[in-house]
Amino acid sequence: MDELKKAILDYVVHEYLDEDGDETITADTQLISGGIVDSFSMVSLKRFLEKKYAISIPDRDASPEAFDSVTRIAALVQRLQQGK
Amino acid sequence: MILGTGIDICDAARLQEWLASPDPGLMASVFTPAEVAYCSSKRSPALHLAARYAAKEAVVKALSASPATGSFWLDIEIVNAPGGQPEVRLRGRAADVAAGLGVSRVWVSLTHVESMAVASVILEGGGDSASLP
Repeated sequence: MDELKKAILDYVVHEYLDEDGDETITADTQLISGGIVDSFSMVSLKRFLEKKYAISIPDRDASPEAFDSVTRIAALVQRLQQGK
Repeated sequence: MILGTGIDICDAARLQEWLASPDPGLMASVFTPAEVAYCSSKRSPALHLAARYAAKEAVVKALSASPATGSFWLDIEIVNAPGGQPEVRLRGRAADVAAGLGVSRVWVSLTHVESMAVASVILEGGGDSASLP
């Protein structure tokens, strides 16, 4: 797993998973449709990404689909870092 | 004619966490300066912010018939009429989506008890009034 995905996965695990739970997630685990990240948490996640990677995520791109897995989020971050 | 409905509930404790956050961008990415100013003037800012958060979510649910994707946080503003009743003001992409659906008026109702806030939204359009079968 590359560094970008690992950093996002670490954040999701730390912020949104129950410390005492036995749930494990991968880069392809469904975060929003799987009920791990709700709309409220998505805002916090978006801000984490914007600050850590010095990007601005337009509202148009901040869709539940784009945030539904670490893999998809990493793809979004990479696209925005490349100015696309 | 009713074109869409939405309802949402929000725990003020989550807004309290945002208010305590050192990142001002967190609040600014969801609430307009006017919304923050209005809620900050209340005895329980977090509860009033929670009601507005729920209202924004309810509007998004009501607009879900549209294929548009993304977030609409700042395109949906909850304002208060001189009499105090809440009203929804749409702009930008949210206004475009509503216009595409034929929405002529957005009705919103807010309520809260203890730490929970609830909002209900009805989209009206395509006729003079809601009709019953």
